[in-house]
Amino acid sequence: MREEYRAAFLFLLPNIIGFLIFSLIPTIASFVISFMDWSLLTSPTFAGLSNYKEMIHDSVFWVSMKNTAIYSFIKVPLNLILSLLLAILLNKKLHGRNFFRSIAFLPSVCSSVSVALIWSPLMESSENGLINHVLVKMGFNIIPFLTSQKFAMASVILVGLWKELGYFMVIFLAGLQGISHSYYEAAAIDGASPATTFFHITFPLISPTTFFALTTSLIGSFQIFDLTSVLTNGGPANATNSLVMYIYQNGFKFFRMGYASSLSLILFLFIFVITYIQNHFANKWVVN
Amino acid sequence: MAMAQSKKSYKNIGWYLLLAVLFFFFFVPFWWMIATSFKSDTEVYTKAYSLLINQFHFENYKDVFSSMPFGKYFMNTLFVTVMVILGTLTTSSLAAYAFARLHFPGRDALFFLYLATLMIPRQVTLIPNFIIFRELGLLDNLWSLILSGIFTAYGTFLLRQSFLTVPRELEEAAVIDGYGYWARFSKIVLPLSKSGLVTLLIITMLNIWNEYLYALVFIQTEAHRTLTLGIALLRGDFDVRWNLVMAATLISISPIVIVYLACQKYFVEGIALTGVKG
Amino acid sequence: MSCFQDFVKIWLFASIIWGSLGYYFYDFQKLGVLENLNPYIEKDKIDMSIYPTMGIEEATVDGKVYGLPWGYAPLYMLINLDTFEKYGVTPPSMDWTLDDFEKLVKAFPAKDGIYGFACGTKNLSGILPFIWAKNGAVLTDDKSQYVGDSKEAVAGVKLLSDLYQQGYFPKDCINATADTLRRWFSNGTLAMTIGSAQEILAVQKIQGVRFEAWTMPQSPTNKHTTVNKSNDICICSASKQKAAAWTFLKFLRGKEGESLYVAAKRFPPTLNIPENWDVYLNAGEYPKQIKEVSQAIVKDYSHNLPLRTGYAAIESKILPAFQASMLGTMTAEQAMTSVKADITKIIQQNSK
Repeated sequence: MREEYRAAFLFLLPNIIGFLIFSLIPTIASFVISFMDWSLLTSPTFAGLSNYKEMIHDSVFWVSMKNTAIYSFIKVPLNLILSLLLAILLNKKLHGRNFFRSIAFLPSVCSSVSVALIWSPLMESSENGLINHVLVKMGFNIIPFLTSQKFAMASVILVGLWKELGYFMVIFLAGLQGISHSYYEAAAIDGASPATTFFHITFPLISPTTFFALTTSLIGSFQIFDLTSVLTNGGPANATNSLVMYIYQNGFKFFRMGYASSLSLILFLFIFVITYIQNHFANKWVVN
Repeated sequence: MAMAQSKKSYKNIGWYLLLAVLFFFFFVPFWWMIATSFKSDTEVYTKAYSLLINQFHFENYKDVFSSMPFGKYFMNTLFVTVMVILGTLTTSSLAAYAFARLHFPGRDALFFLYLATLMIPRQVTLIPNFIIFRELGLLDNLWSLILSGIFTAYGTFLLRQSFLTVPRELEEAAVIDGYGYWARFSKIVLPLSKSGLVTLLIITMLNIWNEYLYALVFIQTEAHRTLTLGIALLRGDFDVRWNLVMAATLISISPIVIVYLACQKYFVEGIALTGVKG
Repeated sequence: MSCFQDFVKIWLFASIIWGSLGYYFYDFQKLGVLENLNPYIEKDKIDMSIYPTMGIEEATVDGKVYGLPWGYAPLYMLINLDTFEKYGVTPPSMDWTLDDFEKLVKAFPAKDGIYGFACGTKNLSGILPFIWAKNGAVLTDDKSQYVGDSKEAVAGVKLLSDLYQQGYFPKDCINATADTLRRWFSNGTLAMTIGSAQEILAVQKIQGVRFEAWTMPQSPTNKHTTVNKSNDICICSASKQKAAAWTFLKFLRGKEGESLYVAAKRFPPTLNIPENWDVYLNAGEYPKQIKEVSQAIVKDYSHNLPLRTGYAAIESKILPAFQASMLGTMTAEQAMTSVKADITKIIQQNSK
C-alpha cells in the first residue's frame, strides 16, 4: 500500500502544484471576495453577508438564474442525444464519413463570439435574414428569432447546439472507438436487434464517456455568456440574460466585484449540487 | 443474396440523405462567412446577407496581414497553444492515472475538488489570477496565458474517464508479468487511450486558440498579442470591416482544422485487444 | 468594451497617465482615481475659454476640474438625403417637432422594407431625446431622483413603442448594434438614424452616400433635445508621472493638439476654435451643413446626459424595461414604473 501511495504522490505532483496555484487558490480567493465590497480601483472593504442579502431581492439575479437553468436543462440533453446519434451515424461504414465528421466538427472550431457573429445576420427577423428568407419563400410567416421574448432563448439554444453538436460527437466517437468489435460480433451471432445492441452493449461501454460529456456540458452550459452577449446582449428584456453575463456586468461594468463574486458562489453551489447528484447516480449507470 | 444487398443500399440512401441535410445545416453559416470574406467594402453594406460571391476580392486576405502584424499574433498564439498542449497532456495524464487506477486516502475528495474548480466561471477567477501573475512578474507575458491554460482540471477529468475505459484485465495481466506503475501507465494505459489523448489535444487547442478574456487582461503590448485580440481590434468601435473580420477568422481557424484532419486516423476503430488472456 | 479596457488599464498599471472616460467619469471621480487639475490649470494659466462651457461643467465636481473635454460633440440625427428623395419625402427643418418626426417616419414604405427610423436599445442616449421632446426626463436636474415614470417620460417611451409595434421600425432594431444601424442607413433601407462623429466617419468611407447631420426632433416648448456628450481626458491620481502626464494632456487638449487631431479628420472640432472647421471640412463632402448645425446645436438645441455615479447600472435597468415596452409585453407606463424601486436603490447605494 505504501508503495501505491508514493506512486500516486509522484504521479500527481506535476499537475497538483500548478492546480493549487492557478486553479484552486483563485477559486478560494473569489469566495473570499464575495464577502467584501470591492470596486477593483480601490481597496476592498469587508461587507459580511450584505451581498448575499441583496441577492435575495435582486429580480435580475432570479431572472438570469431561471434563464440559465432553462438553457442548460434543454440544451444539454438535446446536445448529448443528438451528438451520440451523430457519432453512431458517422461510425458506420459510409463513404465520405471523415469528410462529414470534419464538417460537423467545424462549428466548434470557431469561438463563441465568431459563431454568434455569423448567426446574427442569418437570424434577422426580416426577409434579409437567410432563415426567414427561406421560410417566407416556403409560405411561412417570419419567425422573430432574436427579437421576441418568446423565441430568443430557443434561438440561442439552436445556435449553441449548432456549435457543439460536433464537439460532443468527437468525444462520443472516441468512446465508441474503444468498444471492441468482438462484442458486436457476439451480439450479431446471438441475433440481437440494433436497439438491444445499443442499450446492452454500446451504452454501458461508453458510459464513462457519457458521464464526462454530461458533466462538462452541464458545467459549460451553466456558464453560458459569450453567445448570449453577442447574439442578444441578454435581451430582449432580459429574456436571455444569463447568470455569468450578470456576473460580468456587475464585476466589469458596475464595479462591484464583491457582488459579482457572491453571484458566482451561488452559481458554483448550484452547479456543485447538480454535479453531485449526477455523480451520485453515476454508480447506477456508469460502468467502470 | 442479391435482395439483401439491394436492401442494404436502399437503407444507405436514407443515411446519405440525412447526411446531406446535416451538411447544409452545418455548412451554410460557414459558407456565409466565406462569402463575406470575399466581399468588397461596399458589398459588405449593400449585399451583407448574400451568399453569393460576385467577385473574389483576394485583397481582403492581404489586407488582414497589412493592417496589423497578423503573422506575429499567429506565432504568439501558436507558441502558447503548443506549450499548453504539451503541459496539459503530460501533467494531466499523470494525474489522471493516479485518479483512475491508484488508491490513496482522500482520492475521491481530491478529485471532486478538481471538478469543483471547473464550476467557477473563468470571468471570476480572472481577477485573483491576475493578482497572482502580477506578483510573479508575468504580466504582459505569454507565460501567464500558458500557465493559466495548462492547469485547468478539464484535462485531468477527461483523461481519467478515458483511462477508466481501459480494461482492468490488461493491467492485471501486466502486474503478473512484473510491470510497475510507470510501466503500466506508459506501456498499457497510454497507448490504449490514444483517442482520449487526441481528443484532449484537440479540445485544448480549441480552448486556448480562442481564448479572449484572459488575453485581453494579461496582454498589454502589441508584441505579445494573440490572434483573438488581433481580430477583436478589427472590430473597432466605429469601423467594422466585416470582410476582413471574416477573412481573419477563417485564417485563424485553419490550423485547428488542419490538426483535426491530421488526427482523424486516431479515431479509426479497432483498438486491438491483443494480450487479453482467456 | 473600450471602457472596460481603460478601467482595467487604470487598475492594473497605476502608472498610467490618462484615461478617456465617457459614462464612467463620475464613478471614477468618486472612487478617488482622478487627479484634481485645478492646481495645474492655475499654475500654467490655461485659457479655459476655448473649452465648451458645458464640457467643463461636466468635468467639474465640487468646483474642482478633473478632466479636459475631448470629443465634446452632439449625437446627431443623420438623414440620408438619397433615401428621402427616392420616396418623395421632404427632409425636416432644424426646428422639427415630434409630430413632424412621426409623420416623416410613417411616410416611408415600411411594408417594402424601407424604414424612416430604427430605435436602438443598446444605450439610453438613443431614447432620451424622445423623452425630452415630450418635456419629460429620466432623472431630476440634480440627478438625485428617478422621474422616468412621469406622464411626460412615459409618453416619450410610448411614442417609440407604438411606432415599433405598428411596424414602422424594423423588428431587428431591438437588437441592432451601431454597425447594423449604419449598414441599414448606408444601403438605403433606413432614412434616419442617430449617429455620433464616429458614425459620420464610417458612413463617409462608403461610396456615394449623401447625408446630413441634423438636430433631433423637439417639443413645441423645449428645443433642447439633442444629446451633447463629452468624454474627458483625466490624469490618474495614482500615477507616478503626473508632471509628464500634465504636459502631454496640456498639449493634447490645447489648441495645437486639437488642430492636429482635426486635421487628421477624426472628429468634428469640439473646442471653441473657429478656424478648425475650415480644416475639418472637405468642400463638397457630406455632411455639408455640419458646421452650421453643430454650432446651432451647441447654442440652442443641446442637452447633457444625466450622468452620475451608477449611471451604467441605472441604464442597465431601464433598457430591458424599454425593450419590454417596445415588444408590448408591458405598457410604457408599467415599464417605466417597474424600475423605479431598483433605480432608487442604486442611487442610494451610490450616494453614500
